[in-house]
Amino acid sequence: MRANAWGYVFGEALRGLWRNGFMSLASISTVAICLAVLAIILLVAVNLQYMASFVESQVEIVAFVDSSHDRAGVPALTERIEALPGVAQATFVTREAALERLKEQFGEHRDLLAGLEDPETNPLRDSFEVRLAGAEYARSVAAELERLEGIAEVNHRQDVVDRLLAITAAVRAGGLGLVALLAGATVFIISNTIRLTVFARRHQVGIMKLVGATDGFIRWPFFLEGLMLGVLGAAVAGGAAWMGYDLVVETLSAAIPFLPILEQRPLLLNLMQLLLALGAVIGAVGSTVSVRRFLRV
Amino acid sequence: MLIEFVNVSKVYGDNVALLDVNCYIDTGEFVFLVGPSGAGKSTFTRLIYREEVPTRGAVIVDGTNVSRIRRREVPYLRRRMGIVFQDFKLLPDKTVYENVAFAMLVTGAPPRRISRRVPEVLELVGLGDRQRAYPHQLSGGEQQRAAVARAIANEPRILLADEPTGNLDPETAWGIVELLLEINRLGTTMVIATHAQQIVDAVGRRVIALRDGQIVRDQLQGVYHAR
Repeated sequence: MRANAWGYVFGEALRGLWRNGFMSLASISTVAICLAVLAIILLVAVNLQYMASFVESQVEIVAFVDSSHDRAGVPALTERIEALPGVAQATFVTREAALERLKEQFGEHRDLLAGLEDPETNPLRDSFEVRLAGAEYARSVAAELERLEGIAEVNHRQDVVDRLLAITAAVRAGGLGLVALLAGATVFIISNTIRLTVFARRHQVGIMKLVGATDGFIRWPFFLEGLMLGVLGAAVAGGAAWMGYDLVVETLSAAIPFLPILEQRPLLLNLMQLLLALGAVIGAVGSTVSVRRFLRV
Repeated sequence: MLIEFVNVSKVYGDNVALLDVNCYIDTGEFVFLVGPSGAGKSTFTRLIYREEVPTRGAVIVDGTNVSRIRRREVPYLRRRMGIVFQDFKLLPDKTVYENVAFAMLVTGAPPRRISRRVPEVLELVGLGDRQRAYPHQLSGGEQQRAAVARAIANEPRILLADEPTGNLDPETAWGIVELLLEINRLGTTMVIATHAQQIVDAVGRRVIALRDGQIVRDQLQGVYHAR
């Protein structure tokens, strides 16, 4: 097609967008809502998975000492732990030291912990911090530790990991179902909008057919209008997701300093591309449905 | 032979619009298609520009059997002909210039040819000074002139007109017919379906008379009613 013909096609698409005013807005909004939901689900799922892998990659296990166990037996216990395959080092942490450390983490809110120093009131337990030679030993070392006399409890990271992964899968499955539903509704609304344009231009289309415009040429402006609706909606969703994610990350990392959250830039750029592509597809499908059904060219 | 009807019948349900029509129109001819309403005049022209396909028989235009061509070839057939209607079919939101340019643009004409050709055809139909006017600012006759300009913009070999003067008063109608005669003199084959008895009689060109879907008369220097 010639440049002047493309100019016509784009001009017509924009005119259609403008003329349908309210319906265009409605279409863009539904695309935006649909894709924003998708963005939220993907961001949550990706971060849950990241947390799971972060937890999994920790090469430290904490084993709590039975409260009835005599501290005199600590050196022997340390040796036995360090003898386990996959253990690099075992450090004994007294409950007093643990409380001290907690106070440090609480910073200016340390007053909350006042009065717990008495051995009778200190809620914490003696523990071993067991550093592993590698994350792959986590499961076997945890099992061995649990069997040792004097060890009351081993925190099971694998449990946490499994649970996080299960939540991720649920979020993803439920979320994608919801998105599929919304996408269906969105296609429907876009095809309705394009139908309005088809109706408004039936006279013009009739003349184009009489003077010998090809069907493909006649379809282009309608197709492009749908595409624009989809891409505009995706841009709105992407912008909202970007700003929302920034805000959530800021709030969360202020509240929970060590929470593992994915680096924003590359993740959001990938997400943006995905949303724009999906928006374009939704718009194209919506307009194609209408052009097929109502244009009859 | 530019237009050829070979044993053409067109049936809509129980209604026979054309029955076994045979007819030849040569390059450069000027033909009136006459007859009462429902005689098959519109069907005749619609078969030529392939708005309809014959139920039986073949319509051959410029060497192409138009009943056989595929849908996607239809636009290229129509670029070889211009079509004029009783209701002008101009786009109300475009000026006269834009209406003509539009027909060229959507059929792939290069911009330079459009900007050269549009003033030329508007000059030819007598609208040289009304190029920037919108259809609602024009009289009926001027609107039909604009429609004729659009029909000949792509330099078609054939011009089809379905009741081109049906909405015009007699004097204005004469102006349009003179314009069509002029275009015919420049080499375009002309097929005009009409009710305008006085015009047909006065022009004295070939007349094909239809009745109940059949050709009842075909005279080289004809009149509206057989004498």
